[in-house]
Amino acid sequence: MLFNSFDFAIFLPCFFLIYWFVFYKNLKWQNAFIVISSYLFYGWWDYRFLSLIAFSTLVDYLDGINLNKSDNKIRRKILLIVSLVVNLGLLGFFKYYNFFVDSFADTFRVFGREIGTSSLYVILPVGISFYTFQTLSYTIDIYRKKISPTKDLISFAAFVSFFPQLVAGPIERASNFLPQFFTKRKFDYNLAVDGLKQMLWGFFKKMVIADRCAEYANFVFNNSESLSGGTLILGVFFFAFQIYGDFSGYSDIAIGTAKLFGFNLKQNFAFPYFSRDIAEFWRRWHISLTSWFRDYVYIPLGGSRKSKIVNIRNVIIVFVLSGFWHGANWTFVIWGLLNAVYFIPLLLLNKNRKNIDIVAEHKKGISLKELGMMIFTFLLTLFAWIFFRAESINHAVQYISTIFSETVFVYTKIDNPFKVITTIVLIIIFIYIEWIGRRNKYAIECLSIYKSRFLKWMVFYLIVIMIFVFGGMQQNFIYFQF
Amino acid sequence: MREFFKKILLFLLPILILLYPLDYLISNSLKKSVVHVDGEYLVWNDIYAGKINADIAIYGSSRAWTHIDPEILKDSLGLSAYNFGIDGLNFSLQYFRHKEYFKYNKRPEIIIVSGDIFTFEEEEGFYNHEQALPYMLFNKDYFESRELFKIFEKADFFIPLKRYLGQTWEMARAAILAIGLENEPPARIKGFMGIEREWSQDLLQAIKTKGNLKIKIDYKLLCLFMKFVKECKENNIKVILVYSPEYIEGRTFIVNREDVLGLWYRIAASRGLTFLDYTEDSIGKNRDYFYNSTHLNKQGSKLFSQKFAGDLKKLL
Repeated sequence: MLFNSFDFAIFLPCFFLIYWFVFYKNLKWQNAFIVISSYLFYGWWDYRFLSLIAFSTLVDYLDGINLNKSDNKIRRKILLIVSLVVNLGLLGFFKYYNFFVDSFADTFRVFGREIGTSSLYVILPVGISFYTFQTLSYTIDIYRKKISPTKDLISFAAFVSFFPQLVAGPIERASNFLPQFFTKRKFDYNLAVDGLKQMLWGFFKKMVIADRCAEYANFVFNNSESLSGGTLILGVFFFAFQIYGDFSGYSDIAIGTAKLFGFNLKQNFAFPYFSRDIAEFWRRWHISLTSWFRDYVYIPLGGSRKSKIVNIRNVIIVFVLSGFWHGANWTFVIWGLLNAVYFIPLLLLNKNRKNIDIVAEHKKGISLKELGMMIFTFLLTLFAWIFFRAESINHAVQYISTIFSETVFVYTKIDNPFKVITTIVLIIIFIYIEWIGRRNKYAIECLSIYKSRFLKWMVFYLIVIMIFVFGGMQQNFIYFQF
Repeated sequence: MREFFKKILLFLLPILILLYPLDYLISNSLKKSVVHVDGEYLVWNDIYAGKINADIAIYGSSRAWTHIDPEILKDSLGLSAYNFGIDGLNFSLQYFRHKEYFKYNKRPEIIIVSGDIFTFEEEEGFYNHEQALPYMLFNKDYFESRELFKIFEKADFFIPLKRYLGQTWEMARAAILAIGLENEPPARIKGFMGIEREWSQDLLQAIKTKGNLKIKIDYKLLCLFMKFVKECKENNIKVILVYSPEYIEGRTFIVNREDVLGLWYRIAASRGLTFLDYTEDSIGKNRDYFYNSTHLNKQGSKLFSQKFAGDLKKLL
C-alpha cells in the first residue's frame, strides 16, 4: 500500500479509530492489532512475501531468547551466525542472486570462457533491506549484551512489522523502538497534531517535489544519448530533488503516522543539501542507515581507533557496503566508492567532524564561504547521483562524457518550457522553506512558534492546495526497490 | 481526543464543502475548450448534447479524424456526416464513443470505419486521457467501462476533484476558459480537423529508433469489432471499411504490415463488408500530401476526401 494512495487514505483512519477506540485499554491487543494491520498493509502489495517477514521475525525472536539464556561463547557465536546467515541469506538470495551469477559469468567471459548461468526471475520483496537490518540489529545488540530480548512475540512482531516504517524505514533500533511497545500509549494531542503536520510536509515533498522531478529525471536518464550536456545537468539536478523529496518525504510520512499512534521514530533526514562538506552530508542523509553501518560495521572493524590506513580501509568498506545495500548493480558500488573518495581527504585532514552544527544556526544570513561550501558539496553529490541513477556504468560514463562535451551550454527541449520552469520555481520555494525550517526536525515544524492559528491554518491550506494543483503523476517510492 | 477530532473536522470542512462545486466549475469550464486535447471536447459535447443528426458516421483514430472531411462527403453525396475519429486510441475507445453516440443521438444509416495498423493493437496507456476528466464523475457508463480508463482509480469516478489532483495544466486551462481568455477558432468542424503542418520526420524517426515495429493484435479487440459489425447489421446500419493512404516510406518499418492489412481484407470478406483500400493510391507516393508518414495534411485530406466521396457515390 502506498502512502500516497486512496487505499491508504481509507486504511489510516480505520486503523486510527480501531486502535484508539477499540483496543485502547489493552496494550497486548493494541500490539496484536498493529501486527495484523501491518501485515495487511504489506500484503496489499504481495501477500506471498509476508511469510518472509514472519520467518525473519520468528528466527530473531527465538535467537534472541536463546542468546540471552546462554553464557557459552561458542554457542552464542553460533546463534549470532544463524541470525546473520538467515537474514543476510534471504537478502542475498532475493536481492543479489542474479547479480552474483551474472557477475560471475561476466568475469569468465573477460578471460574468454563462456559459462552457462541460470539466472532466476526473482521478485525483490519490498522493504526486505529495511526490516532485515532492523531485526539483525536486535540480535547483534543482544549478542553484545546491550539489550535484553523480549519474550513477548506479539510485541516483537509489531516492532519488526510496524507498518509506517516497514517498507522504507527509518531503520529503527530495538533499544529505542522496542520499549515503546511495552509502554501504555496515551493519545497525545500535541504529538498527533505534530504528526499530521509532518505527514503534510512529507506529502508535499513526495507529490509536489519528487513526483514532478521524477517525470523529467526519468525522461532525461532514459534518453540521455539524444540530449545535450546542459539538459543532462538539469536531469541530474531534478533527480537530486526527486530522490530527496521521495525518500525524506516517505520518512516524514512514516514518522508523522507513527506519532498519531503514540510512537517516536528516529529522524532520518536533517536537511542534507545544506551540508558544508560530505561528512556532514552523511550525518544528515538517511541517518538511520548511516548510523547502522557505523555501529555494526565501521566500529567493529576498528573505526577510527587504529591507524589512518585502517581507518581509510574502514571508510571505504562502509561506503561500498552502503552502496551495495541500495541495489545489486555495480553503479551503486561506484556511487559508494565515490562518496568514500570524497570523504577520505576530510579524514586525512582531520576535518570530518568540523561541521557538526547547523549551518548559520544562530545567524540570519549565511556567509559566502559557507554558501560556497554548500554549493560545492551539493555539486559533489550531484556527480555521484549520476552513478546512482544510471542503468549501468556505461550509461553513467556516457552521461558524464556528454555533460563534459561542447553541448554543456546547450539545452534540448524536454517539455513545455513553462512546465519545466514551474517545477524549478517549486524547487526554489521548497529550498527556501527548508532553509527557514532547517533548525527543526522537519521544515514546517517552525510554524509552531507562531501563536496565530489563522496564520498556521492558512499555511496548511496553502500546502494542501499546492499538493492538489502541482502534485505530479503518482510514482512509486524509489526506496521501495531497495 | 475530542479536541483533535474537532480540529480535524474544522480543518477539513471547507475542503469537503468545496469539493463538488470546484469540480463542477473546473469540469464545466474545461468542456468549453474548443482546442484542448485536439478538440476532443467538441465531439464529446456534441454527443452528450444529443445534437448529432448525421446520415454517415466516420469512426477510427487520428487517421479518420484528420483524413475524412464530412463537409466534402455532404457536398458530394448529399448526406450529412460527422467524424468521430478519436486521436491515438484503438478500437476499444472507438467502440465506447460509438456506444455513447448511439445512446444520446439519432443513429446513422452508414458507418465508415477508417482502419489503420493500430486499430486492433494492444494499448498500454490512455492517450489524451484528459478528455475523460469533465465527464466521468458519477457517470455509470464511464465507471462500467473503467477497464478502458486504466489510468484512473475507482475512486476517481466517485470522489469530486480527486481525478484533477496534479492535473496542473487542466486546472490552468479551466481558469483561462473561465475568464474567457481562450479565443481560438474550434479545432474541429463536425469532428474533422484538416491539419496544416509542415512535413516532419518525427514519426519516421521514432519508428526507426524503435527498430522494426511488430504490431501485436489483441484478439479481444477483434472480437469486439465483430460484435460491433453484428450489432450494426441488426440495426440495419451499413458498415463500410476504408484504409486511407499512408506515405510510402513509412510502410517498411512495420514488420507485419501486410498481415494487418490482410486482416482488414479478411474481416471484410467474412462479414460481407465493402473495403476500400487506398494504400496503393497515388496520394501515398507524394510527400506533399503528408505531414508525417501516416497522416495526410490539409491538402492531402481534401484530395483524399474528394476521391473517397466519389468512390462512395458509386457504392450508394
